[in-house]
Amino acid sequence: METPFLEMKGVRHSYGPLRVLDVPLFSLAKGECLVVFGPNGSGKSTWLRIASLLERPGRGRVFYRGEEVSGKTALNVRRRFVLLLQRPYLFRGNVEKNVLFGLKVRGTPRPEMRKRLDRAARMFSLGPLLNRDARKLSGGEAQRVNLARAFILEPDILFLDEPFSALDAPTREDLIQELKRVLKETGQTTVFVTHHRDEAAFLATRVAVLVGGRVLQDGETERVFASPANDEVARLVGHATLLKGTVEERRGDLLVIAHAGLRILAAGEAREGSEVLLFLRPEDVLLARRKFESSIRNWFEGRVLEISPGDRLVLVSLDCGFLLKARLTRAAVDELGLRVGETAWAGIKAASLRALPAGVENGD
Amino acid sequence: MDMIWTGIVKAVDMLISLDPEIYGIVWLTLKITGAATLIGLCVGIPAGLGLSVSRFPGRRLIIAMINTGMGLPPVVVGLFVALFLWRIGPLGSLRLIYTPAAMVIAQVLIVVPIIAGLSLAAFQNVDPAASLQARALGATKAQALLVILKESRLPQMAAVMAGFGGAVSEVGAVLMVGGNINGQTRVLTTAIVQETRMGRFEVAIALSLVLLALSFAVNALLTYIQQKGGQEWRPHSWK
Repeated sequence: METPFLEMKGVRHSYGPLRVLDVPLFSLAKGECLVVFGPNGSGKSTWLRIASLLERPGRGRVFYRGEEVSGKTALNVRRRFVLLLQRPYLFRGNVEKNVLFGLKVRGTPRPEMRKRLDRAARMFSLGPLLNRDARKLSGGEAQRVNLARAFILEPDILFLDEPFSALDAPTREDLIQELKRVLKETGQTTVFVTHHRDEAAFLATRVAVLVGGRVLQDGETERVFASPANDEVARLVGHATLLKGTVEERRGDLLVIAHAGLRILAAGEAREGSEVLLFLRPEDVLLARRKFESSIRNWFEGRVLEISPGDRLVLVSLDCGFLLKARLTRAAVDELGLRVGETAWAGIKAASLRALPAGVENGD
Repeated sequence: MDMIWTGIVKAVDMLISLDPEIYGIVWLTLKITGAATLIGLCVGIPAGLGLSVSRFPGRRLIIAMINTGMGLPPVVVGLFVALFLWRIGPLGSLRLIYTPAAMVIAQVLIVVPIIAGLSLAAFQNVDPAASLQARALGATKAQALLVILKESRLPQMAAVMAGFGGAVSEVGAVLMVGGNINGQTRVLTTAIVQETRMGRFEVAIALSLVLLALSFAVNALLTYIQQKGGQEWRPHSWK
């Protein structure tokens, strides 16, 4: 096996008496796009600062390409990484100066800076912004400048701390698409902190769930979503159903997706024959005793595997040839008279099934 | 009333005719206060930066002392500098008492706490994200400090000008250590005291006008800098 890019062994970190991080073993391979999930105060920012060598862990060792990072090598290794903070902090001056900052502190020769600036500006369509005052940009523009000043450095690992959390929904969507495209083009190894499930599903090849400074689950995106290791993880990732399938046909703005012998209609953009990931929130699943005439495009018959009560809502698991999770009110379950072992129909609108190109590394 | 009026007329006349005595005093004032401000800047800004980014025992005490120093009575500074530079004092052998150098020393002691205190406040106002993001993009610690300095450059300039303003209008210390010797250590403030005592009001008024103009220029620039950036957007009102 290839030597991991980044490894942490026995890393523990405390602020005063408060233990904020306890990671016995962690490793990141080249080309991975890891998403770190965690609620506020779970230690993910500390984790990012230690992994990106901005902070030295109280205990434990960090390895880069198999070599232990020491005080002597820290700066050089750190310069192969970039961390972008949650709120983009742009320095005083124009956009160009901000994008070039990292190259400048590294003493990069001028012609090289120009060459890379052109490329980064094209990558994030910054052309018309370069001479603008960095402090007078919109949120979306500022985030594009932020991303550009990271990609211009061509880092070995890019660390992103909830980069889109401060943006409005449409801007966020656009930027995620843009980031996805760039990640694909560059094969960038990335660590991404977020608490949005769809961001994780869309970008990650691997998900690590961090709670109270400990990694509760670490694995392939689909596995973590489909079978959370425990209740805490489940609460966090939210029982979404994730399915991998192949686009069989495009019917207008609909995609016909084949999954384990089933045909699923979903909204989204993808080429015929390409692999996609379907992302479905349990709130968007309708359960009925029988099919009825409606706008619902997808009907699956399934056997009820489990009915697990939550705080106010009930989570119903069905075996429809795939594991489907539906969230209903207690009253709805009672009225339907659903019991474990019985069959029921699950209805899913094509519009609530989002088809996303599968995993970054095996993109088209 | 008449005396004041003729005084002002004569003063303006002296300023317009470039009276050598007046301009000699103005020039010396600018040299001494300028030197003191420059030295104060070289000491005060690094001190402010150091105090803003470091944590060590006694840091709070030093900050408290700087804050006290910002309001240090110039005559007290004058007294201590005079005691040290006095011919039989600890530094008497340097023979600095009643020289412009002594005046610069006294003014530096007045200016340093002002610049250090205001510059510390300016540095502490910079978002901690600035330095963190700089390092996260590959800056060394020193380069990150430079970023903090650049991010706070406007308030830093205000600190420098407040220092200059404090020094140029101060009279007690320069009088005690400089001695107000005509042509050697006479500056605007000490000259105004002297000319008023001797009844040469028109000269005193002329010098006051220059001092006022200097003070005004410094403060106007300071206000402009402080207000800049805050006026890009103004809400429309119904009235």
